[in-house]
Amino acid sequence: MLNPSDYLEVNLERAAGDVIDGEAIIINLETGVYYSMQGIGGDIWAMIGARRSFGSMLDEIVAHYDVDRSVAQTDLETVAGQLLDEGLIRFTGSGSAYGARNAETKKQYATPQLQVYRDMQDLLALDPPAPGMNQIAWQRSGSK
Amino acid sequence: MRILLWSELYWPYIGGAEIFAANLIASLRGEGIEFLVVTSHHDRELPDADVHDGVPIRRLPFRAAIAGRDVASFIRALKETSAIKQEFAPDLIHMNAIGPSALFHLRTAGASSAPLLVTLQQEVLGTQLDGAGTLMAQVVDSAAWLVGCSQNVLEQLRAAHPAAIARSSRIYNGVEVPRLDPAPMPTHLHVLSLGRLVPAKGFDVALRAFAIVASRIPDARFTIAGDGAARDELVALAKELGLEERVAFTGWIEPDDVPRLLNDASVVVMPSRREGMPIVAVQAALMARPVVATAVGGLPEVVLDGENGLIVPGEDPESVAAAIIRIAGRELATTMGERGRRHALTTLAWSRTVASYHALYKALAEKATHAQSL
Repeated sequence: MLNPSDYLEVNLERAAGDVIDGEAIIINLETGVYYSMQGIGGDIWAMIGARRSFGSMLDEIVAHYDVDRSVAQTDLETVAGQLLDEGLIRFTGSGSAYGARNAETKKQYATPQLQVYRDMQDLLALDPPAPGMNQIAWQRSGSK
Repeated sequence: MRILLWSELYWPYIGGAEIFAANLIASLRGEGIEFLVVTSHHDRELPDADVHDGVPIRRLPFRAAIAGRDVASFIRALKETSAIKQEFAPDLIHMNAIGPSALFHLRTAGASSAPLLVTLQQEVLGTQLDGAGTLMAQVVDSAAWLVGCSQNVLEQLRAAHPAAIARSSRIYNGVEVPRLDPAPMPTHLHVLSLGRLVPAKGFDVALRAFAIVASRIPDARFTIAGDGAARDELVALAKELGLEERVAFTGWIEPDDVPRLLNDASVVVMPSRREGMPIVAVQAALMARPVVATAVGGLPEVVLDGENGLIVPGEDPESVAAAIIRIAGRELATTMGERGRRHALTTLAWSRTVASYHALYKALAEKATHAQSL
C-alpha cells in the first residue's frame, strides 16, 4: 500500500516513455517490452514523470475525474504497483509539490489499464525475408 | 472498396507472405478494389512513399523504432500512421501476417473505424496467445475476422484462443497454375530444395540427406535454389560433406522461372522446421513433382503422405535420404507427381484463394457499413 507522502519517478535507467494524444507509450529499455496506458493512464504517467507524490496524484485525479476517491486510490495503487513491478518507475525521496484544483467539468473516469506487449523482441527475431533483393526482377506469379 | 493492406514487409523484400500479398493485390485491383500498402522500412534505404505495380506503398520505420527502443521515433511513426489511416479512410484493414509493426496499428486504432482482417501466415504457438500480455493476443482479440493460411494454422489458432473460433476460417495461399506444362521426369535423379536459405527451412538436413543419397546413386545431383542468411553456412556444409561437385547453389530464382526449375527436378525436398502455408510445395505439386517433407505447418495438407510425396520426421537426414531413394524410380515419381497436380488443381488453385478473399472483403466491409448506419 502506498502512502500519500510516497514520491514516484520514472526509472530513467530502465524506462523511456512519452504521452501522445493522452496515451502513454513506455519502453523497457533493458527488455524491449512495450507498454501503453490510455486515458487516465496517460495522466498518471505524466504525473509520475513530474515526480509527484502518491497523495498529490490522487488529489489530481479526484479533482479532474468523476470518480470516488476510494476507487481512484485502489486503481492508482494497482497501476503504480504494476509499473513498480515492471521496473519502469521507482520511489524517490522527494519530488514536486502540487496543489490540485477542482475542475469545473469533471471528465468521465475509466479504470487505468497497463497494456503489455512482451513479445515484441520475439516477433522481431522471426526470420524476415532476406535483405538485399533490389536486383531481382520481382514479378507477380499469381496475377490474373 | 478501399483496402489498407498492412504487410510487415513488402516489395522489394521477398518471402512467401510478401509474394502472397502482392499477388492478391494484383488479382483484386481489377475488381473495383483500391489498395494502399503500409509496411516497414526494415534494413534497406527505400522511399517513404513508393508505387509498385501501380499500387501505392507507404513505408514507415516501424521495425527500427521498435528495435532502437526510441520513444521519439516510435511516436513519430504513430502520428504518421494515424495520418495515413485518416487520409486513406479504408473500408477494411487487412493485416497480412502479424509482425512487430502490428503494434503501430493497434495504437492508432482510433484513426480508423475500419474492421481488421488478419491472415495468419505462420504457426501459432500457444504461448503467443497466453493471456493478454502479448501483441499477438491483442491483435487476435481486435480482429473482426482471422484467416489461417492452412488448416493447421487455423486449428492452432482455435486451440490456443477458443474465442476466435466463431470469427475465423481457412483460406489456402493458393498458387496460379503455371502456363508451362509439367515435363517428363529427368532420366537421372535431380533433387531440388527451393526457398529462403534460413534455418527454418532445414536445408542443412537436406544436404546431409543428399550426402547419403549421393553415396548410393552416383549420378544424382542436388540443386539448392534461393538465397538468405544461411547461404554461406550451407555452402560450407556442402564442401564439408564432399559434395561441391554434386550440389549447385543457384541464388535467387525469379518467380516466373520456378516452373521451369521444377520441371528439371525429380523430387523436391522440404525438411522444414517451421512453415505456414508452403508455397513451394504447392508449386511442386502443380508441376507434378513429388515432395519429401516434414509434417510441419501446412505441409501435410499439400503433401499427402504416400500419395503425392512422403512425410518424414524432423531433423532426420537418414529418413529424408530413404524417402528420396524410394521415390527415385521414375515410375513412382511420375505417379506421385500426377496425383499431386490433381490435388493442387482441385484444392490449392489461386483462383479459389482470390474468390475467397474477395467475398470476405465484401462481407466484412458491408457488415461494418451496416453497423455504422444503425
